[in-house]
Amino acid sequence: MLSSLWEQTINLTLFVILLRMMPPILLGALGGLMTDRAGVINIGIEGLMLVSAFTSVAAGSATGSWIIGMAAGVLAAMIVSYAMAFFSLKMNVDIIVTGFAVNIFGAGITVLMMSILYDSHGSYVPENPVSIPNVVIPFLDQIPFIGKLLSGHNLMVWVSILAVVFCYYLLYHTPYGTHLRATGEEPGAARSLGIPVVRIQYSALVWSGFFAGLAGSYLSMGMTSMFVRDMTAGTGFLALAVVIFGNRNPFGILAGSAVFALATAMTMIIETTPGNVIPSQFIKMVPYIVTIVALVVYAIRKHRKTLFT
Amino acid sequence: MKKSLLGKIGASLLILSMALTGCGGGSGADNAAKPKEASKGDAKTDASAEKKLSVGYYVSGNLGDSGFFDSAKEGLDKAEKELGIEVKTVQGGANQSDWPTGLESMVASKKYEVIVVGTSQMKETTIDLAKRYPEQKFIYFDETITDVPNIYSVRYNQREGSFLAGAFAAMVTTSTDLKAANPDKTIGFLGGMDIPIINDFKAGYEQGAQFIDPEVKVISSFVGDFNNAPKGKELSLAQYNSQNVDIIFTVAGPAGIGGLEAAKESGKYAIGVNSNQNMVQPGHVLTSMLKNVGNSIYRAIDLYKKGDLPFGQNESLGIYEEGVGLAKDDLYNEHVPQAIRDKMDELQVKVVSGEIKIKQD
Repeated sequence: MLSSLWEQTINLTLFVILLRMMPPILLGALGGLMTDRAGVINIGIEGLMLVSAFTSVAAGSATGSWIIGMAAGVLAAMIVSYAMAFFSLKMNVDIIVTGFAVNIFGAGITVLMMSILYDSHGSYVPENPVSIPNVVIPFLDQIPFIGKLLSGHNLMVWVSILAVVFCYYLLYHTPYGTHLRATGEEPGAARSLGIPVVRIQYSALVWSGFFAGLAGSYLSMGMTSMFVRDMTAGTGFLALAVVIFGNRNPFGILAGSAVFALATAMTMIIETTPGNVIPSQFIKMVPYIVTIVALVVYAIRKHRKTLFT
Repeated sequence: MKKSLLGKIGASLLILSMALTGCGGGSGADNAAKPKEASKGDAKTDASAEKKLSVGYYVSGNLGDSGFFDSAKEGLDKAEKELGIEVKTVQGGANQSDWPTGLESMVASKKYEVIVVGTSQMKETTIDLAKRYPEQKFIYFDETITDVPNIYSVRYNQREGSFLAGAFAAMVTTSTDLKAANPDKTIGFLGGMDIPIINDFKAGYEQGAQFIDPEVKVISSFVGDFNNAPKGKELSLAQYNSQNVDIIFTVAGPAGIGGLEAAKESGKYAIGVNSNQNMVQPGHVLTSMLKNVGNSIYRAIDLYKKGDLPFGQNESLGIYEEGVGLAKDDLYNEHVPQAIRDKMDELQVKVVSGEIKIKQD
């Protein structure tokens, strides 16, 4: 079994699966990060992803264009997150309650729309599926090792990695980012300096809708080309764990997402290995064990910091 | 301060109502339509002064699984039209802890002469309710319940059906007529969860495969739930690409549809489950193992109306009773080579005649 795992690490199968699993976690976590740094953590990422996944596949298959599908999905998630911002910032509803509501709303509205539009409560497989294309780099894909390493990945893999750089730049190298971080650290002080706190928090929530929207459209048009009720299956919550694990930093989040994607990719490979003796229930635990280990590592690191300062 | 608190309460109520409407959305469409029909039915019965048989159907989950819940609903719809009964469907939703109370409220309302309910998860609840409400009659599908005088249960011999699926997969993997069949004698199984009923499918599948060629290896993996289609697809891709699997039997509800898509993407084959899924990815889903839940429910209601339904007993429907079988439609005829089709027909005859014994353990 170990030899098979090793073999698939060498021939990059593990890496390819890892890259396919990573974008939804990474993009979801970036959405969580923007709100977390602005002090209005959005726990509704899961619901936003579902809304976007459904809208993407519906709009994409209706128009036959993945770009329109993706745009529609992202827009839908942004509208819902704007509504979240309205309720929590204008109407003073607790942000956790709002996020919770969005999760329930996302699970419900997608099934409702699916039953109205396609007369199905369980799943929708479009007749003419569209999907976000894979990026094949010419010439490079002919080279044995490097070809598999760099070429043939879904466009969203690259988008998600670029999004990390974008978030980093936005948060640490623009006045807006500084204001956003200040708002999250101490809204009172930020307000006293004339920073428009509420407006910044509004924008942070809409950013989370944008990233969760990209993640959702990848789920229904990249990884698969269908919508299944509750197809996010906890990815949005995993993303929130990654925000904390990644030390609330874009590059930390990239590393965190890679760790989780690696754990999932490994369970895939172990499970499909012939003669595998480990019970499937045990393998299913691996991502959660990684979560616990991650949080322990985080806690130790934080504890050390307080010890030495 | 006071004002903001009021605002908070008002807004949370708003959110809550929003959430609740969103939540009920799934079943709302169906439920809203039903009472109207029921009242129409009442008016009719008043006029003709004869009472229609009132049947309740409790779905422990949601319709739209393109599996046994939908199939049972089809059977009930047919019974409603042809046998002149009244059916009320209640969808329990995804929250398991709601199901016992949901079913009990249906039972306690005493509006339904017969209640149709099924799946392995509801077994204990139904037995408990049947004992506490001895007047209520139950038709239970997809599980064995005996010795409860007011429950009639029907079980589908998925092991027999899966035996055929396994034999079919083994023929495909050893076939030289099919383009995508590689020389490796490896076939795959994708289960939803590692639970007894899914393992029953798996056991039959393995038996069938070994019957055709003892050298065939079966690789199995489990999604962990029945909804995570991306994961179902990834697991299937891993089987196709890394383990030289050329055909996978997907027994994972909606998550299995991801597996069927993986078959198309890697140009390999798959076998659908529960209902005919051949058209989901034509040319790649070669056949589907059917569970004819609808027919059996229709038959049970028909028998009940005649007073012949054997309560307190279990019936097991296999290939012979047409409770299970493979979907042999036009797509099957088009994409499966003649040699395999002939062998499958032959095999089926032998299973029905008892020449081939399937171990049930």
